[in-house]
Amino acid sequence: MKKQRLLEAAAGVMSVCLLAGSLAGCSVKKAEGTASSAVADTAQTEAKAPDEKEAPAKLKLFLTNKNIIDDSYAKKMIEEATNTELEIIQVPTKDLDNKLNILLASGERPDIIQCETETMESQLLSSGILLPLNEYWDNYPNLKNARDEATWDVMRYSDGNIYSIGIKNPNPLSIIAYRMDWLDKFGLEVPTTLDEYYEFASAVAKQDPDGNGVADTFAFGGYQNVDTSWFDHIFGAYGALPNYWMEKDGHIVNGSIQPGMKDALIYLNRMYKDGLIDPEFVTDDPKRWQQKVKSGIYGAGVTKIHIFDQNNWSNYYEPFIQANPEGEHVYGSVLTGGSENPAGIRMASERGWLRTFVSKDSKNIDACLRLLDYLTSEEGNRFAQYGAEGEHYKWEGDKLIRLIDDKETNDLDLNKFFIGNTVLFDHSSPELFDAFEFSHTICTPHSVDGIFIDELNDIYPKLKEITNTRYIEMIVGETEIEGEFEKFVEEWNSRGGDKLTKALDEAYQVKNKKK
Amino acid sequence: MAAVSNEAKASGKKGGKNGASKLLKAVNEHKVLYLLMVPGLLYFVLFRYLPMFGLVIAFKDYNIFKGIWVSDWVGLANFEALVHSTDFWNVMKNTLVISLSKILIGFPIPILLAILLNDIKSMKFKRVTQTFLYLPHFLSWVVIGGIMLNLFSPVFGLAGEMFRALGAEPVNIMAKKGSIFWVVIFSDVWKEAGWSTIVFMAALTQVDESLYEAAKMDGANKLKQMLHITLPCISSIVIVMLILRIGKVMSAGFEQILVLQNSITMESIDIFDTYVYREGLGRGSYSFAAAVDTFKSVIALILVTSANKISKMFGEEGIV
Amino acid sequence: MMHRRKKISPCTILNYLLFTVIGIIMVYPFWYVVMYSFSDPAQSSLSSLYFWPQGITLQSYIYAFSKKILFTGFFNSVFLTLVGTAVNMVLTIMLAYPLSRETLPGRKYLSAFIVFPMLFNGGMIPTYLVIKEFGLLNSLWSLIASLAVNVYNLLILSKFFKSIPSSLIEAAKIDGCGDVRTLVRIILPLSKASLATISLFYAVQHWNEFLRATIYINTDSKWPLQVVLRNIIDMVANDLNSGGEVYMNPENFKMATIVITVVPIICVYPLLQKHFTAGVMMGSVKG
Repeated sequence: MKKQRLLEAAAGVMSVCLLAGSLAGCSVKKAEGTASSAVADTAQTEAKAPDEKEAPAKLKLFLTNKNIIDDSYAKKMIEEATNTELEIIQVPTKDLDNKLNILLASGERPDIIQCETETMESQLLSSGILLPLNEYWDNYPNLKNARDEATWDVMRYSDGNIYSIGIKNPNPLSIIAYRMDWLDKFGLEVPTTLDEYYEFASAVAKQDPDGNGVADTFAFGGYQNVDTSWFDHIFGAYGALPNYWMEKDGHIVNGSIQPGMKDALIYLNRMYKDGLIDPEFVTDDPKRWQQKVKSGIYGAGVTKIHIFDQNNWSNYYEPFIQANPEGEHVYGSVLTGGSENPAGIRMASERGWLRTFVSKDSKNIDACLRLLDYLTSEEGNRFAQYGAEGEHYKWEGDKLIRLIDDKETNDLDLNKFFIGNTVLFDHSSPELFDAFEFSHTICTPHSVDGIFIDELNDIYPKLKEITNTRYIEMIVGETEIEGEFEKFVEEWNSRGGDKLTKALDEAYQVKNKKK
Repeated sequence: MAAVSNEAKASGKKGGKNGASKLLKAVNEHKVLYLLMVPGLLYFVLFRYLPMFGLVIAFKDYNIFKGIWVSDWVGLANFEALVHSTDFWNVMKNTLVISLSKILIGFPIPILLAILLNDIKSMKFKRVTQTFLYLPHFLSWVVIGGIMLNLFSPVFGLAGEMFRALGAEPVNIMAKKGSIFWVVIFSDVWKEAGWSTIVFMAALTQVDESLYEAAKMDGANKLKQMLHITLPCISSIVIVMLILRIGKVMSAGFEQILVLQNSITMESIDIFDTYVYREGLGRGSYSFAAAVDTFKSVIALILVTSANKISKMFGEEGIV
Repeated sequence: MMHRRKKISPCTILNYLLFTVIGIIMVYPFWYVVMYSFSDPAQSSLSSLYFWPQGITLQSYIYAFSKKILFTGFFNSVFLTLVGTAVNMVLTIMLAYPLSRETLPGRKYLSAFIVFPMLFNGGMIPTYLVIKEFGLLNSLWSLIASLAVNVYNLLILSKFFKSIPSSLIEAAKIDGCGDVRTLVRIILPLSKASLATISLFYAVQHWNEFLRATIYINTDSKWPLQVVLRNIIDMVANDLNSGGEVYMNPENFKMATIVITVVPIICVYPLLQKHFTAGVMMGSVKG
């Protein structure tokens, strides 16, 4: 009797599963099949002539979240200018990749897609669902001319095509800066050597420059990783930058395992033990670090260039001045005394932190390109960021004066369309431009920008993690640098580092030969 | 002897036929109950079992553009990659140690709190305290992590000031491999203890008050009452909660660990879920993530069935 | 009636003391959040904010409530919580009661059938595909349908149902009650505490819904509260790359959003607390 019941139950469960499985199979095939039928459709629509004045083309955009409201002023104006109707799916940055993966897996193909991570970009590029922009942009001059040849080169995929356009931001966004008022207070000059730097850093940490009786000032702080450039002025002084691919004697090497780094770590460890570095850098996050910078407790290190814009770009300068009315920054050059070829500040990718792609299967390829063309044109670019001339801003000579405040800018949805645009600084103060210019003299080029190889995605994230952990352990003194550094280099190589370096170097040689 | 066995055989055969009809009769008797279950079971079939076709992803090299069916089969390759990865044993160890410690310390406390709280006679005090108790549950780990950071920071935090007041060097407990473990355990206990008391409070309402009266008259003190009346009465709920908790051993607290990890503590508190978040989903490798999930599920299944069996051995009912 | 003077034992005092201390420890972070939300951003420096707000201002709240989408989000969450919990409770009760009857044939297999999905699930993408197939995408129903029964809650409720003395059920049967009547007239009234508990669990889960909402729902007018708030915070994030709504300090605003989400759900429990009265069982079983 028991056996019978068992069999019956088993049969029941199995049939449910079979039923489920077959239903699933049908539905999955159907769901995933919508992609292939879409391809068949576009073949027909492409045959139509693109320049008839038709009803607005409906486009589906998958963008990183900027809180664009459906019937906002900016959105309406952009739709009008490009004869489109935009359906925008916005996702908070952290969940972007996940949601995009799910949408794509279910067969959906938004007309315009954005992503920030290289993993996602890599996946999209190798998938074959993207539109090669270069094949179409002869009809769209603004898009074509939006970037110079060198930048397009970096955006070129291995098959020679260009599939994306990224945000154009100043690069680098960091700079070596010192508190001018504190230098004056201690009677010191802007440091140019590692020794001079140590002298000033000690004074900052130990002689209470802000005079509040508390030991709360430091040379610099940071957040969690060594490759967010906060230590670059020291690492660079010794010839390399960790977690950064650099060119050395015509070959690609990674800064993490260069011998000079060991001396840099010893120097940093000394600074840490002496209390010159903010010990909270291990646990701080970007927000907390920003707060500290604005409250003016750091005096000698790498910082964001925003601090030089007295027109308060990203709300850096004003809070700083409010908290430190006498505060003043001055930028400094690369420090000597550690290496014969010191490196400067690392650079971000010229591809832009946010890349926009067009789906090959889009039913409205021309509308998509129209939109991109408009937003990359000088007129569209300026409109999307500042609004309409006369209404929202006016010109005074060659300086742009905004007529509306931040709140209204936000309500109108201005400065929210980040689709391949160039960030303008027409309204910024001249100090910022000086800083930009200077920062270009102290940076180290991003040698492998634009080179995509699979091993990068598989191995490199882990290597970066290991570098961060081991380096920070050595800096704070959890491990002894002598011996540990050599062990780290071995670990780095054995985890695929040397394989990766070779592969990158080969790709680099190939790319350079092409030039 | 033979006669008895023949009789037995005869009744056994009759039993066989009777067995089937008995079954049908029993089913018929309870048909209303079965009908009640239909909507719920339908939900399970449609929304829980149907998506299980996705379990094959763990055995494939899933490419979202090729789709689940067309992607290549790789058999156990993903699992092998997991078990052979350099981090596997560290992650496994961390997950188990952290989970078990949380259970060991964090499971009994809500029961104790519920019993003690039940003793409070002032309704107002009880209500206010209960509300305070479960407040931490509602704050996400992101928020609590931020608050902990503010409190425990050696330079600008309250902890730092306290250290200095005592004349000692401030220590950043959230940046040391040893102390972070205890931070993880105790902050989790603190966050969830209050919320977990709710179920036990509900269980306590089912205890017959008259039993306490009788025990008091027999001269039993509070402790004896607790051991001989309260605990046995709520034991079935406690067992269920414990088995369910054991079923979750492989998930040692994703959000919390993610928030509390930093470069120094990353390795010492890395668990399966954070590992997969970085290595699997962070690389767009759903197959790897699926393999880890399946691995976790198999272990959870083994643990739950064992816990179930063990509880039955002790005369308690399990969950199945 | 004998008039006894209440003896306040040292145990009782200790108990009250214990819970006062615990209460303070538990409530402090929430107090921190509230404090921060009412503080003036310019004055909330790194180390000063511990016990009292600095520069009380309603700035963050005014900003939050100025966003129309906050109200849409709020109503979506209310709908999701009320309807969702109702669906949850009906289905869960209808499963829990039969499973609690030991005489039900096949009970073990049904239990196993239900416990299995608690341990194994198909993954986000397959579930998404199924929901898409049923046409539930981009609606709050996707959230309700996809987690209509939580196995954890179901097992607990079932256990509670089981602990009701079978003598009561037998008495009802003898009186001629069918299964449904027994459930409604006997079981449910005696299970107020557990029903309240499980409803609370479901309600909180719905109210805090975030991740699945971002995946299943695309239109911002259909987003529940948590997603709306997270999006606004994202926007205020003072992103160094692209600039956000820089006039609003993100941290203070974030705290205000937390208060906005947590306060409504906190108010729900006290309403349910009256069902947690002891003594429901007393006197119901004689002998």
